[in-house]
Amino acid sequence: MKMIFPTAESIEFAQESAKKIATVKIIADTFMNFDADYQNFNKVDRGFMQNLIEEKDLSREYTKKYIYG
Amino acid sequence: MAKKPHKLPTYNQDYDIVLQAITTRLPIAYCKWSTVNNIDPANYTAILDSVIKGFEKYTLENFEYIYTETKAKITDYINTFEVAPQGSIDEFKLIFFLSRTLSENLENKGLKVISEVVLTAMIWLLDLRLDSVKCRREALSTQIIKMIHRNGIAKETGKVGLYLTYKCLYNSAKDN
Repeated sequence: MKMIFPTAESIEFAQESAKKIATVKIIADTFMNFDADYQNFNKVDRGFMQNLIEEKDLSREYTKKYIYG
Repeated sequence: MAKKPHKLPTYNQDYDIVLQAITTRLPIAYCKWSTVNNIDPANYTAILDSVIKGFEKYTLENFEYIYTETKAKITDYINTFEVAPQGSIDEFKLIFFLSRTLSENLENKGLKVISEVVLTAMIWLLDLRLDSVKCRREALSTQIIKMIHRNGIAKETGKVGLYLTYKCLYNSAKDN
């Protein structure tokens, strides 16, 4: 099967576009209600969330590795 | 006697972080989506620019619906599987149910390409979690992105099959 890849310029443009996107916020209610009994203790991984904010995965090296496999 | 409902803080800032993470990864997700599905990248920048602008406009006009629907999906999942968490909702649920809400609503509005790219961004984020425990599977990602393009997520994995796949892979790798 012939594979068509985005060019290096396309990837660079994509990374530049990502930086320009405006902030979008969701205004949520304070609480969620559940009928089910508590089963386990979950928590958001704060390290992961911080990495998302810092966009560590959008480094040139990581994105190329991910896109081309 | 009816059960007394439990209350759990929603942590607004986490929804904001995940929504912004999806948004900022759309360009790269578009790259991945077009590569996996062998879509000609001609006019790439013009299409991408249009897609991004459309998505921004959509989220600003629909943020209230997006949150309400995401919350309903998470509540339904938790009540169906009886897995109410103490503490907070984990990042897998935030990523998965927020992305599914966005993609379903975008598709209903006729925005099929951006709907597929949002789901590809979701796979990107879920793969990051697998990467953190060294169990990301390239073949799995590729096949799911192909499934997204043939509109097969709901038909082939149901409401929560994809979420369970990623969560169980992650937990299994983390526990072993």
